[in-house]
Amino acid sequence: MAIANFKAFRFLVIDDFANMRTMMKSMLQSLGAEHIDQAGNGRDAIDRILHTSYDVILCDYNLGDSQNGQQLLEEAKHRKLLRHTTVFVMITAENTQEMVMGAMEYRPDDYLTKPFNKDLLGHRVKRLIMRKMSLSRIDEAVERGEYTQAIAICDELIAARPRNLNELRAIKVDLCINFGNYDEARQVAEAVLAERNLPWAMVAVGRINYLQQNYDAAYRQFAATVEQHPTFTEAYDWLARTLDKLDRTHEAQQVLEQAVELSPNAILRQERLAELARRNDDLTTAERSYRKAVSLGRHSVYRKPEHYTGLAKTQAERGSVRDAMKTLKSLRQGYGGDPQAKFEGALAEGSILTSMGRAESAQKAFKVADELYNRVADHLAPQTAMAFAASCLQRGDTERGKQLLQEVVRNYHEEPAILSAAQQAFADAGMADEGSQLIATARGEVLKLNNQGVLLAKKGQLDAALKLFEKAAARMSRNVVVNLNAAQVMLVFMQKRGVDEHYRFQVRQYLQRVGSADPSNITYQKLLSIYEKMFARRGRNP
Amino acid sequence: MSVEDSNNATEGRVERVEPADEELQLLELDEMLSNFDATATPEPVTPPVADLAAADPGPEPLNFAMVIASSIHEMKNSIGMVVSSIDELVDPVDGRCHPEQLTQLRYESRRLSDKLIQLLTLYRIGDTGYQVAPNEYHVAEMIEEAYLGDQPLLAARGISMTIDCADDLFGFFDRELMLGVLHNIITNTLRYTRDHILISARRIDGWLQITIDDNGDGFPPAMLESMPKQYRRINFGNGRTGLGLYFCSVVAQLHRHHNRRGNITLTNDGVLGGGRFTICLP
Repeated sequence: MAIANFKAFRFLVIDDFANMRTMMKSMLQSLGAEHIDQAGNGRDAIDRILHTSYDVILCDYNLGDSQNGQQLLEEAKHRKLLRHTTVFVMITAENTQEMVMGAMEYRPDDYLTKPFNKDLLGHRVKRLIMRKMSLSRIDEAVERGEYTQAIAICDELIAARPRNLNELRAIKVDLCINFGNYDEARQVAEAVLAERNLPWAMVAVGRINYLQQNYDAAYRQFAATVEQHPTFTEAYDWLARTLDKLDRTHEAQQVLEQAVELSPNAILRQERLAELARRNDDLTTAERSYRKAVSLGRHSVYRKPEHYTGLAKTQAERGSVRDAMKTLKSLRQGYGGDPQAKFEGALAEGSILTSMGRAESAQKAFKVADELYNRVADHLAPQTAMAFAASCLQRGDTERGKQLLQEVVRNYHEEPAILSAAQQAFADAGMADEGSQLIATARGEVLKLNNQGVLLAKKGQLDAALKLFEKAAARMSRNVVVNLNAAQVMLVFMQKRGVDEHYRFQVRQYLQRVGSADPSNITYQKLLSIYEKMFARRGRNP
Repeated sequence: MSVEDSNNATEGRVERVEPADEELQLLELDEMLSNFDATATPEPVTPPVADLAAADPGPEPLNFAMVIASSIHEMKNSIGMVVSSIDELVDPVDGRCHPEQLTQLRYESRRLSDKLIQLLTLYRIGDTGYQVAPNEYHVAEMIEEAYLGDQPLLAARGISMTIDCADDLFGFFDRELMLGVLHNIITNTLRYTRDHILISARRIDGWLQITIDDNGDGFPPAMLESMPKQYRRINFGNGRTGLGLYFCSVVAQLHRHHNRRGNITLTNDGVLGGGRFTICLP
């Protein structure tokens, strides 16, 4: 086979053993490669990836005490350090189940099991490069946010019935689902299933049922997938999610426990199991899973302060306050001076101490949280913001508590779970009646402002409408309706007055805010396709 | 511009977005909220679920002590060959390397490595309930890779190999385990073939069938008889204990689809006049 063009590719070999790196390097050289860099651990590797744009990364799974290969890949992808054409091959000494199934979000392009010779290496790498190249047009379109275009490229490639036909079908199904084109996604997945019950296609049909809120059908689909493909861990995650929706939380927990047994190293799954177990009052399981999440987090990009605070609260609930305090200490140490970690640690400490009746020490902890709040407010999950607000109410800082809860309500004015949690926070502070009024007021503000903007736009006063929504979206940056209307008004404005780069950027930001929270939102999809149409053409004809 | 137009936005032609004739409709708040309602609920797809437990008793339980004993025996033989090959590698008189000893060394080391991998896999299956992680693979690609892995060994022994597999043939299997099976059979066939090996793959009645034919004199009768329950009659006398075939049989049986389970057969009716190994996966 022609391997002469290895010369043109940049390789990175990651292995903690220098001998192994040297051997890989000489294999690659004998295949014609010239640009070969090496890294001995995850840190080095990330540094190199930051500086050089590699075509092929060959990474050993086992990297000694540092990050393992999977965690390295997760970090690189999560931080978007890899080009979409970069081939990432995980090299393994043996194919243990734990390792192959450890991948939760990001899978390598392929696994290669040792020992292998240079012919096999060359063949595999060449094939992967070609496959990636054939997909690069799709990836580029997705990167530009042009989903309809990406789907059209899939169709074009599928029509040629290539070797990776089902891979393309899987990509198309994913794109269609993300873009809310459920009918087409279902059609493609079912065509695959008519040939064979491939696990990804079964899960895809289940996901569509789930997104269409047909939870019973989704449940049947995911249960069948788990039964027929017991090693396809993704199906367990979806099955658990569906059972949770159906309020069968104990069954959901059992399903996640099975998945964790198959694949114990997926940090996000451990996190979900811990939360679910805590809700189910199964503190033993919750503690075990939080602990596992904390330890997996040491080298993971998915590390979160919540793993520590969740563990600490669970430990306190189980009566071991000393352990809880130790956990919070390791949170502070592990995160250095990170203000959000400090804030979350202090908040957890305050509420644990309050529940122990140690009001004085609790005050100290809360004081730390108070001082940090403004610096971290923008990055907090609504649940954390509400927990902080609740603590303000509890300890008499009523004004601040009220304001913060209203702010959360303004951002999530139509989310029942958040509204009822806010109501609960008021009720816990003995302010049930006043609270429901404050919530109603905050909701009313959003409705009034939004409708005012809509009216202005309808009357054709675009400038005024635009100003109003721009301000509203800045103030309620997480509010779905406000962001959508702001995007819509700006799009109309640009249609009438011509394109403006500043507004274009803002529309993209508004749409991203909605898309990252709920990609299935129909209005979002419509606006996104209008945005795409408005700018995709220009992109290609500057 | 209307929302419906966006569906056509993917056609190759470049369309200018005209300053709107029709206006982009602003959605009223109420209208917006209505979008959050549940959408229509289509008929769910429930694929038939095979009743595996009733259909098939499952693979025979492993007697791991037996497996270990026979493998140690086999590996002891291999390492013996390695040691003697090393001893004879360099001619004591002229100090030159004997290529045939090198070939033997390569072959026996390879067998040792294969056995250890097989043993480890069998251990996992027996001890940890290792489950196959099947996926869809291009069959010709897998066979090509098996060939590339064994190529140095084949070349050293002057044995050629042909692959007969349609380019649109896909299979659903655990690639690592299947590569292990192919390596094992190819290494095994090296001992029986004269100078050629043919690997062919096809789909028959929904089964993926992969056969490995050689042009030797066929497998010895004792080996054919020992199928499929090799471990009932281990013959330590002939030095080959059938661990490899046992491994292949376990791998085949781990592959299931509905109520069908993979299997292997060993016959002497190969198209090249020699032995034929067949693995069928559902």
